[in-house]
Amino acid sequence: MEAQCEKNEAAMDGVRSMRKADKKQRRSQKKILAFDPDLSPQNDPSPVLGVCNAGLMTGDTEESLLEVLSPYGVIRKLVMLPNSAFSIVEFHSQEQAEQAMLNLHGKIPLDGKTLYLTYLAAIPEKWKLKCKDEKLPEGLQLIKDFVSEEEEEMLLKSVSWDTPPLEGRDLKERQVRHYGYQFDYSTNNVNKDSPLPGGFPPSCQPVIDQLLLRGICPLPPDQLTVNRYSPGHGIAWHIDTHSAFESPILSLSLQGQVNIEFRHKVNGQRVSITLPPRSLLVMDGESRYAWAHRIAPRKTDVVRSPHGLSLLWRTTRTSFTFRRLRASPCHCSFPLLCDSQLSNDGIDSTELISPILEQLHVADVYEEIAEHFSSTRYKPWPRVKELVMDLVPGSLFLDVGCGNGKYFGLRNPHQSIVEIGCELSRGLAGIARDRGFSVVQGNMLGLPFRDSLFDACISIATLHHLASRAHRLHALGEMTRVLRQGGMLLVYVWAREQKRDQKDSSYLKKDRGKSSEGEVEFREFQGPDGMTVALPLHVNGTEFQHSDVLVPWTSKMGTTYRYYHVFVEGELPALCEEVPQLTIVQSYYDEGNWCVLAKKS
Amino acid sequence: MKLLTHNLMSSRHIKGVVTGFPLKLTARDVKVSEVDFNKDFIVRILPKLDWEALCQAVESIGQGTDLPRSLDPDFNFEADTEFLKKAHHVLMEVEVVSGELECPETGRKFPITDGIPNMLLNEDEV
Repeated sequence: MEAQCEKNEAAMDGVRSMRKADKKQRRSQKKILAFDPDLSPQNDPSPVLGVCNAGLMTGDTEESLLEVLSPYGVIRKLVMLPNSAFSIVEFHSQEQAEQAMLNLHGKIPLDGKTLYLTYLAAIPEKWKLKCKDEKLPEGLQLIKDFVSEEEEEMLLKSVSWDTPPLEGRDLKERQVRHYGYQFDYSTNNVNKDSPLPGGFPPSCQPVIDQLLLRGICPLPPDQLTVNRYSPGHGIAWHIDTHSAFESPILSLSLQGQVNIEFRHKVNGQRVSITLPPRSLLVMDGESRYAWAHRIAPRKTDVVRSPHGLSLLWRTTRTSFTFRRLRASPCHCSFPLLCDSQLSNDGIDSTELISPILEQLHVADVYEEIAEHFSSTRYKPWPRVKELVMDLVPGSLFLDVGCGNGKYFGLRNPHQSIVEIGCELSRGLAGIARDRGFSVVQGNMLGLPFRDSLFDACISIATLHHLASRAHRLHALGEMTRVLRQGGMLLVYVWAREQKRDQKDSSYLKKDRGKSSEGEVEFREFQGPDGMTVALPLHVNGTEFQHSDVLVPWTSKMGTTYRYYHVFVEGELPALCEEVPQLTIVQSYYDEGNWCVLAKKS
Repeated sequence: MKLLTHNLMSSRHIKGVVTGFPLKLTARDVKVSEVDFNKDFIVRILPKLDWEALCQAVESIGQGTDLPRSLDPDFNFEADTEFLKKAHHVLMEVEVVSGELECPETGRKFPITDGIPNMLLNEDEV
C-alpha cells in the first residue's frame, strides 16, 4: 500500500513538473514572439525547434549546444544571433526534433539553465540571411593546401618533441618549440638581441620560398613558433604583441583540424573559422591588429558542410607560426590596442589627484545634490531593465551605485529576487531605503560583500566617477569577486563619443541649438609634489573634447561640478579584458554610453 | 538592515582581512514588520545563504526562535512550510534599524543608522 502511494506521488510529481514546463513553454512562446514576431511557434511537431535560454547572450556556443542536441539526430542548421538568449535548430527529420523535445524540454543539460523548447514552422528567411557566410575579418585569408602531404611529413619530422626545448619550458596546456628567437610568455615579447642558435629547420625553406614567391609577405620571417596541441588543449584569447612582430602573422596547420575563433576587440563581433590540415592562415591588417584570436580548450569542434553541422572530435594538431620581428615601433591605426603607441601616451594625469576628485567632486557633490538628483532619476534604461526582468527567481542581485534604487522593485513580487544596493552617498542610500529597498553604504573600490555570491551585478553610470585607470580596474575586479562563477556583470559608462552613426545621443539633443565654444575653462588642482593638474569644465549638451572633465550640475542652490572620466570606444572592453575570470559576452553602445555585459568564468 | 542582507555582507574590503564573515551584530533598535510569505522564493534562496551565520545573527539580536542551529543536508525543507515561514520571518520581517556591525578579524566597527549600515572605510584602511 505504502509503495503504491509513493508511486502515485512520484507520478504526481512527474505531472506537476510537466505542467510547470508546459506553462513555461507557453510563456517562452510569448517571449519568442515579443523578441521577433516573424517567428512562428506552434504546438504541432516540426523539424525546427526554438530553444529558449540557450544563446550567445547566455554564454553558450555552437559546440555546447551541439553536444546537447546532436544525440537526437542530424542537425541541418543551427542559428545563433548576437544579443539573443535564443537559438533555432533544424533537424533532418521531424522524428528527431520530437526526440529532442521529449528529452530536453524543461530539462537542465547546459550549465544549470533550464531549456524550453518549442516547435517552429520554419526558420524565418531574415534569420537565415543574417547568419549566411560569416564574413572573414578584414585582412584575414585562409589558403587551403598550402603544403603537400610530403612537405607536411617533412615539417613534422623536423621537430623533436622527445628532447626538452633548448630554452624555456613546455607550457602547461600545450607543447611548444621556438626557432630564430625565443618568445617569452611572461612579457609576450621576444628578446631581439639574442637570436637562438641553429636557425629554422631546413624543411621550412620550401615554405618560406613559397611565401615570398606568392607575395604573401614582403620579407622572410625570422621567428618560428611550433605548437603541438592535444585534444582538449587550446590557446587563450590574444593579439600578437604589436611592438614585437610585423604584419602579417602566418600560421600553418598540420595534422588535425581545429576551429580558430576571432573576436573584434572593439565591437565584440565574433567569427569562427575551421582550419583544415595543410592550410595557411594569413593574419594581416585589422585581423592582425584589432582582432583577438584563440583556440578554445575543447575536444570537439563544430564543422559546417553542405549537409549541415556536425561535431568533429579533435586529434593532435601541430601549427607552425611564422613571424617577423619588428624593427621600429608599430604605427597601426588602433592606438588603444597598440603597446607601441600606448606606452608613449599612457600617462594617467588624474591618478595623482584621484583622492581629491573622488571625494570633492563625486562623494561630496552627490551628498549635496542627492534629493534633486534623485528627482531626475526615475526611468530605468530599457536594456538594463531587460537584464533585471530576465533574472531567474531567487537570484541574488547587486546594484553597485544604486542611487535611489531605480532598478529595484521592477519585478512581479511572486517572481522575486534578492535586491541589494551599494551606494556611496548617504543621501541617495536613504532615499532608496525610504522606498523600501535594502541598501548598504559602501564604496565600489571595496565592496562589503562575501566572495562568489551574487548571480548578477550591475554598475550603471558609476565607474566613470573613478579618477584613475587603476581604480576603475580595481572596481571591476571587486564586482567580479562578489559574483558567483557564471554570474553576469553589466557595466554602463558615459561615452566620450556622443554622436554615433551621425546620430546625436539624447544628451546632445536635450540642449540642441545651444551655442558654445565647449570646454574652454579649466580648474586647477594641486597634486602631491606641488604638481598642478588642470581639468576642463564641460558644457552640458555639447560634445566632449576631453576624457577627464568636470560636468556642471545646476539647481536653485547653484552650480556644482561632478568629475567624469568619459570612455572612448574600445576602452571599457579593454579594461574588462584585464580582469581575470571576466569574459565579455557583449560590448555595445547605448544612447551615449559604452556598455559591457560579461560573465565570471 | 534585514538579516538577509547581513548574511551576504563581509568586511573583506578592509586591508588584510581574509574572510570578514560573519560580521558580529549588535542591535539597539529592531523593527518587525509583516512581509508577504513567498514560499518559492524562500526555497530558492535558502541554499545560497549561510544558515549558521543567520542563526547566530538571530540570537545576537535577541530574536531567538526555535530554529535549528544547523541544517541537516538530508533535511527536505521544501516540504516543511512551518520551517520556511520561520526562515521567512527572520530573513524578511526582522530589520535592524540601529546598531553595529563588527569585523570578526579586526574588531573594526561599522554603525547602522536608520536601517543603513555604513561600511565606508578611511583611506588608510584600504
